[in-house]
Amino acid sequence: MSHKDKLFSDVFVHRENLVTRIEARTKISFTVVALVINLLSPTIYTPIAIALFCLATLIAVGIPPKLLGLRLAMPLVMAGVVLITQIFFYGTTTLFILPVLGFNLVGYEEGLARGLLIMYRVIGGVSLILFLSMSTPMNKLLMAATWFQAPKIFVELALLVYRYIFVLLEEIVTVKDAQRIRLGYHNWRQSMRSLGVLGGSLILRTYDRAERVFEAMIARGYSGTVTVSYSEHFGRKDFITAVCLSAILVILYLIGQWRA
Amino acid sequence: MTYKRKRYSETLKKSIHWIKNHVALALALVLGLFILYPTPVYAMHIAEGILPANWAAIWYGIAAVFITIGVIVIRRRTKENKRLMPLFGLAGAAIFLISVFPIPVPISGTSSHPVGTPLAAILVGPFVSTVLGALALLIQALFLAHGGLTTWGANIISMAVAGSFVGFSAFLLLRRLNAPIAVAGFTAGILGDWATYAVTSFELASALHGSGSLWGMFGAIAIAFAPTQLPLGIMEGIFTAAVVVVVYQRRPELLTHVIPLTTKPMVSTVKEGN
Repeated sequence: MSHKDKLFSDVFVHRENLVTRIEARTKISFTVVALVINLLSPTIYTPIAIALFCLATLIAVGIPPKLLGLRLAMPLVMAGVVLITQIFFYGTTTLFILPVLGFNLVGYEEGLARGLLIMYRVIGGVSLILFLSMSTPMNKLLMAATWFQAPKIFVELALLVYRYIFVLLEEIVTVKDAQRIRLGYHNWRQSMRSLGVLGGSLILRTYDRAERVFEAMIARGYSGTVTVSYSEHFGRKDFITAVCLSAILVILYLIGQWRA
Repeated sequence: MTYKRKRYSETLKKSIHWIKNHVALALALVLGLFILYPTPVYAMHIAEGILPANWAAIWYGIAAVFITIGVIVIRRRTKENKRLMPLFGLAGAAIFLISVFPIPVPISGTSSHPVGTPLAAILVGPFVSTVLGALALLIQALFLAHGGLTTWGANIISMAVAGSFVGFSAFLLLRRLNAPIAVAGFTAGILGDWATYAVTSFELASALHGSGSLWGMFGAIAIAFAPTQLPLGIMEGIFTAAVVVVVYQRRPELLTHVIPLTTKPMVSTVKEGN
């Protein structure tokens, strides 16, 4: 299985390990609070500590570092653009002057500092999200969201969306393969046409399948709402884990205050 | 005379200064492009951690209004017709998948990804597609690290809200003006995509301009993403048009709320087998 395939699969969340065993509500609370700490940190040390903690834990439980790098790469592209705009637009203290084609590009010290802070926040934040999403199945996350009083209809819809992403993905692959062997993508013009047909047939299949799914749901006693409720037990072990994670949060917060 | 000359030279100096500043701006962005160039660009999701806390909160607040209305609309419509719930779920999955479709962009030589919300708005209405777009963004943020949780609000506004409403209004307006379906779909796609791009640039600029000028920063960010986003908008337009035409040809009854069945369908109304 290539890394590209792994992007869409959720094999890692179904493994049994230290992180997947942590109860979903605890993990959600930890991630949300840590995200806020990450965003409010005045120095780069907190984001670095967060990233190290999350990535080290994930690597320790067997997530391939290459996959983590792949996931981090995309947000870093945008962070890179932000870094560059910050260097040249923000601040007053000249850090360096870059002569380009007879003009001088002035880079500012404050801009560099701010740009780097944003970049590290991106790394920290993305690592946290990976920590949550690579260790918790989506349905558990959504069920736990109902415990946090998320609107039920929203959760219900999210569960359906999540389920059918995989089903429709398979259909797309089938249609696309059929198009490809009929030279549907041999040039740009043909590719656009094929993509249009692919998108159109995806929509039509969506409607047809929705009809069948509805019938199946009715046959199983669907009355307009799916009963979603979170009923996981919160035991002593979960309590201890929650205390440990809170301690980690406090440490992460203090690291940010340390040299501020 | 000398006074006039002095004024001229001052103006000249000022303009040179202005040009210098702005050339510097453009060059700064060229550097940005070097970073952007070789990777496929996902339709401008604001990554986790880029927006400061106060801006993230503001966008969350605005997004909450749209999501609340959307949820109310969905609740009302599904109460009237229970069949719609699985349909919305499947449509949400379709939006998610369409927004990760790699579309070849001829100019930059890479592949890019459409927003998908203009198309969704045409099919299910702008409020519902806002909620579905928000769900797609949430799953993308968790699953693929495109976008983020604290920037979810901002991404909802730029992709789900701006994409849906601009795309839907453009489609509806052009259909009222009796434009062909393909033209209306193309315009909806292109304007919806560019609206997303403009709003995202504004969101980034407003949060990051600091003491500098907001519009200067907006211009800088807009230029930095222009080489991929402008052609991508056109691709999205072509794609949206193609899909709407295919759907209309095969199942025109699905589009009755935006295209009244006054004309004969172009091919046939026979339902396709699966």
